[in-house]
Amino acid sequence: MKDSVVNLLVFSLLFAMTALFVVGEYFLYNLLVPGGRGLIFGSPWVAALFPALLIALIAAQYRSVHYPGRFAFTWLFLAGGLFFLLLFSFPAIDKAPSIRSPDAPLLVPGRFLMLEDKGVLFAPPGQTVAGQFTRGVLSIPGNQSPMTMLEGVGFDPLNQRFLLPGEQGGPKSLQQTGPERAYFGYPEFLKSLQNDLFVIYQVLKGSQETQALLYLAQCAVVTLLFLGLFVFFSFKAWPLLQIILVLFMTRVELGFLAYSLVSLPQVVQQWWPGATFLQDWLPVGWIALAGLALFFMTMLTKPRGGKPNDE
Amino acid sequence: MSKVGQKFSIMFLLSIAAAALIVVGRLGLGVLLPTWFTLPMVWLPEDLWDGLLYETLAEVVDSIPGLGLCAVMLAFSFWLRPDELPVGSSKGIPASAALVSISLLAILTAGIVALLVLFVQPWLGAKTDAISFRQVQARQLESAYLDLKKAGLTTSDPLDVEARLSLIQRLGTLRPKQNSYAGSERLDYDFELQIIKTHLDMEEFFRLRLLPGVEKAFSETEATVADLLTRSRAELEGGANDAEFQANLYAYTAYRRMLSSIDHGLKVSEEDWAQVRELIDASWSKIRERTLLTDERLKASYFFRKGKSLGDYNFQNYIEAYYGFQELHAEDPNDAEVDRYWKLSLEALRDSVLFRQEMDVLFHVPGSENLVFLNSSVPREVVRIGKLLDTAHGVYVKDFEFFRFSVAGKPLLHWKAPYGRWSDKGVEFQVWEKDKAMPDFPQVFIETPENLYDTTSGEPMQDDDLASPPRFVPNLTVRDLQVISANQPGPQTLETWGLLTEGQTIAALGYTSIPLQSEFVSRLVSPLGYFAVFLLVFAFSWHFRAKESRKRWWFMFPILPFVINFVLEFLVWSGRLVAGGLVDVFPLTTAALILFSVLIFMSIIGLVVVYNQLNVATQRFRERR
Repeated sequence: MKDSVVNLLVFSLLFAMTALFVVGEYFLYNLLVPGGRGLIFGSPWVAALFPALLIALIAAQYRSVHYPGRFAFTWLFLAGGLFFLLLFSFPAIDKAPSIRSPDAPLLVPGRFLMLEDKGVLFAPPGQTVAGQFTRGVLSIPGNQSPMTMLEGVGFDPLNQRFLLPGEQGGPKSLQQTGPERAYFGYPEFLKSLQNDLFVIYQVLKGSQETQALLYLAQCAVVTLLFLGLFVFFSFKAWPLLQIILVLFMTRVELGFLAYSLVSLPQVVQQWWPGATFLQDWLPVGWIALAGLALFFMTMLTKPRGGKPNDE
Repeated sequence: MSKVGQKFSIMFLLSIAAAALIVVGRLGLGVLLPTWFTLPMVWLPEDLWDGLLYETLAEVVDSIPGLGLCAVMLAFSFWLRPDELPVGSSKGIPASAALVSISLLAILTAGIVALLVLFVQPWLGAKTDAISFRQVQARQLESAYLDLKKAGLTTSDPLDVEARLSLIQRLGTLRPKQNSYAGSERLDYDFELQIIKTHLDMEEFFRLRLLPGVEKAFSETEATVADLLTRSRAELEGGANDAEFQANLYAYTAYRRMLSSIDHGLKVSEEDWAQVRELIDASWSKIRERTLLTDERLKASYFFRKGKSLGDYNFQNYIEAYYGFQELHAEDPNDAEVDRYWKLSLEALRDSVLFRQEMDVLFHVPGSENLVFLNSSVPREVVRIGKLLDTAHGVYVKDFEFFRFSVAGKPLLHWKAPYGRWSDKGVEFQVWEKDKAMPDFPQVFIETPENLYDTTSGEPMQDDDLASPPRFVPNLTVRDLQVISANQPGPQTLETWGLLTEGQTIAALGYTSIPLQSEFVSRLVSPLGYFAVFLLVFAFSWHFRAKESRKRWWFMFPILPFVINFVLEFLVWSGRLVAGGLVDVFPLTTAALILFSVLIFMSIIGLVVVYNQLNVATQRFRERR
């Protein structure tokens, strides 16, 4: 029983640590890249949610395999922890403090800022650039029109773009391929991972806002699916291989979730247009089926404890 | 060498060999089956072997840090048994010999990584960039050439042909051996060059044919007397320039023909006889009048202007001399002296004057575009160069725009020049039309009494000062501008110490130097970071080592490098962010020291963890023995 509680503590502690680590990386990225808002997720807390949950769960599961305590309790504690964190994180994230103020100035005095249309903005050194409007900004259009000193440049924090007065009016977004973005950009494998995490988040967020029951069910089946990773720890293998296998299967499960929550409803929509109930609940049933299969396999192969390398 | 070193070295070398084989195989498939496998870069056909060699080396070198960690994992988690660890003497500290072996191995591998990161990777990066840049430049030039050629089908601007000639000559210089691969390329440079040369030769031929005195619109030798008389009257009555000479020629030819007929006993009508005499008299009187009045005046004017142009040339007023001789040459193309001095003045102008038409042709060549930089912070000056060409003959700029403003943001001086030449003395804007004496000097948008465009004299510019627009003296060199060019490769491929100098330059130009400084700090601390990671990976691998039959796990070999690569990529990215954050907050030296301290702390932790792991294994082994 003691080990069951310790496993839950490991899960909670690692969740907090990983979340802080990811938020810290987002903070640094936003600090270094003008207009940087992370890769896909607007909020760093959202970006941190799934990686923190999964890393904490895998670590806790690894410990549970070797120190299971009473495994039924361990399983229930971990499932409860994952379910509640998943369930309450979505509303909590909306109230989470912002890492970077949305209207934080993007213009740094004395430094050029590249825009998407190849234009450039320049706030002279010593200029105050705080607030929504900045006075005395030099605009250098990308189309070879003459430079102009603008009286006031507006900043649209929601869309992270500038609004220029006069003839150059119209929103000007930031360049997506600036030198900072190119150097500090996310590695390729993280980009593909974030794509899957993003679509999963989008579906859950949509349900949380409109259909409480569906959201509850989705959280429950996602929990069941990830708890199924226990099965792969029972694979009698070299411990290093076991770890790599579990990480690989986690990635597979994320892909499966993304497919089930996004592509499957589209398939249903194509075959039975208008069947919204089916669109919502078929993916839940499909994930639940996979989760239950893993659950029964876990019960059959539940860990008996023992250190990984007793020689 | 101990078993630790032996097994690690074998695994490391095997991993590198496997990686090299995979890279060569992948690139080979890309070359042999281009429709199925794509190459990571596109090279010019003549650069293919160099490109493949450098790309292979670059990819293998890039993978070496990851392969080192793979070798650690495979050697110490799979291959090495606890009884193979160096035990040292029984009186010594337990596991100290093993710890020394592992530490030496970590130091050696970190040293190799340092060598690769600091020197080899940037060198290979620069080589691969240079080869791929040649391809990009050649394709840009080809596209510019083909666009002009396509446009030439509907328009017939002679400047386009000159531009095409200039582009094809540049392509020929860039790729002297292109004709060996011309069959599979968009165009054959030699063939295109010959076509353009033939085109220009034909144009020259027709131009010479159209010179005054060359064209024969009407052959008086083949015409009849009646035709000659009609033509003579028409010329006389038409009143065109020099028509009286033609009228006289036709009438005189008819008169000679009639005399010849009389000599041969043929009869000539009285009417024709009277008509021809009348035409000869009338045309002659007009010729006499012109010769005495207009022609004399024109001739005098010609010689006067010629004298003035020669004087301008002798007094080195080459612009006036050039346009003067150009006008005289148009009037009398056969005047060899005028032709010679016209060409001499043009040569004398080459170093000081740019001709707009020639610049239009030159700027079809691709170059660095839209370069914006801060020229000085007091007074604040921002400069934008629309396009910059760094050629063997000099550095030229297009759409050069200058903006000076006060501390309060008030515009003080704003002007824009169409073209300019960048020399050691500064950027000069002496641009003139080639065919007429018309300057194309900078256009001034804003000028204030204290900030006049003509800063050298301090006086407002007058119309007659236009021959010398002021020179712009930048606070930087052309090479400095390369760091803000869009063609500039990323910080990863820059030379290590160049990161510092370029970082200072880019900051002075008004851009952030954080990526460059972060890369510098990251490279400096990367060997120590690798040392710490090596120790931690060793501890991890040893802790999770295989204790069962090892033959079952061979399929781990191909999977592990990918996993390790992901982890390493993530660590490098995180390291960059941390280095960037530190450089943003602290000065460069402090940031580097903080990172060094953190990594030294991590290394100590790594050593403790490794010792702990080795100690447990050694104790057990000793107990069993």
